[in-house]
Amino acid sequence: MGYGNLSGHRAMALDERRNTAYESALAKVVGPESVVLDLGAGLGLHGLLAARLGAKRVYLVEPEDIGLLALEAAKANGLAERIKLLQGKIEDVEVPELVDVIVAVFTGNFLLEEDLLPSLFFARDRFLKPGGALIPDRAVMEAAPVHAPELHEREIASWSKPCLDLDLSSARQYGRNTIYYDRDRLERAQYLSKPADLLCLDLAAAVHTDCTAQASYSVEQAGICHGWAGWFRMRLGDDWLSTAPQEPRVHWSPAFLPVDPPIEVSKGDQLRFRLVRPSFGPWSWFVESKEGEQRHSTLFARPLPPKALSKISPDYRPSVSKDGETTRFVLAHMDGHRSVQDLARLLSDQFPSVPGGLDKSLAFVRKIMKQYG
Amino acid sequence: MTTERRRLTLAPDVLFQACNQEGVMVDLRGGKVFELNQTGARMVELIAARNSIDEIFATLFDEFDVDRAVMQEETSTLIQSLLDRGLVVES
Repeated sequence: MGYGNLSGHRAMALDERRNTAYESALAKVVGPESVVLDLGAGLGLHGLLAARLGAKRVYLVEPEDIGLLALEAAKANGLAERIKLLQGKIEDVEVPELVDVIVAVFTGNFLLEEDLLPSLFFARDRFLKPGGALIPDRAVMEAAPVHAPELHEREIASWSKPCLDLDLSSARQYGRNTIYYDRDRLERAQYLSKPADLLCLDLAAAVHTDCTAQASYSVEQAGICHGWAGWFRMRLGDDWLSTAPQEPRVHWSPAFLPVDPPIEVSKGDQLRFRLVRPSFGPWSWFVESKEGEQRHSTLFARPLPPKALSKISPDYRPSVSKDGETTRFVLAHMDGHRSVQDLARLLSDQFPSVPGGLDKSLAFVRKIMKQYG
Repeated sequence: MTTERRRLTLAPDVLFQACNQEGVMVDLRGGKVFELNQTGARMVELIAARNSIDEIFATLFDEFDVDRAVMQEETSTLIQSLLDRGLVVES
């Protein structure tokens, strides 16, 4: 998801169910002496709420320029004096004082997606006063086997049907290894068993987000199991907010982890589900049923030759690509004296084989500058 | 000729994928990747389908134009290598 554009924030900023729950949690801990850190503030909504509740100071930490909008909103709501924007990632900014409350929306779809929680842990360890409050402070991943024919047909089985008399069925093996975030269709799926907790994170104490979890399910309703629906719930103050497909909507989407081929199940059948997801790594899920075991992984969600896949191995010995050489060249010459145009000319002279000439070089330098300059 | 009725299976945290006549095994425990050629990929596919080693020999001999003794020796070597690396286990 892109967080640089307003459209990426609309669903979050206008998520009334979520925001009401956050406001209630803030109301329990924010007082006139409170200093609050809104981590990954976006439009600063939670920071604005904290200020409106009377917080003494609120720091908004937001790497994207969209944070400037939060300052305008602070002004429009008469809160500007107590709100300060720290533009950058939490790992790069210096918060001037320890804070009483950290409020964050660093829980991704199915909790671990986007790998934002390690940044929350960093903020907690570096800037939260002892005994300070985290919102949220607990998070639990849940999953249930589902009968989801519509979703399975659309994303997986459809590859097995000829397209204009052409056989595209080899794509199916990648479709079955992909995780889908499709709230609309998951809302229409049926749970075949009660959901089970997979991973419980105490956000006040956790130091990593590696996940190796398993759960057993007793099938309560006969049918075809097309996969697992996965979501999370989190504790905001004293209340829990769930992102389950059968709960009222929030901006987070539940996940669909397919099982292919689907499994026919009868009431009383036992299913075992195991989820392996190292921090910043691929998602892998293993399903055991009376029909045997199935293994799926997002490692295989797109066609990659074994040589490309071998790059994930810790003993892989990489060398610098041509693109890497040009990046290194630009970085080495970004010294605060040369203009973007100077750098583009230098690049074009040094690498005349790069197609597109000066215009392409200029675009390339701008791209590097945006990230590192 | 000795018979090999043992059945193997992929180790619990190992993934296998065949792609374009090659294959790859990934050990999630350490993230290590093991590349397989066409015959190796087919062999692991047969292992994953719980064929016995004898059945694997027979299928590979049917499907590939190779000398039986050479195929059997190379397959045995590869199986032993996968066992040593913990990528497959006896089932």
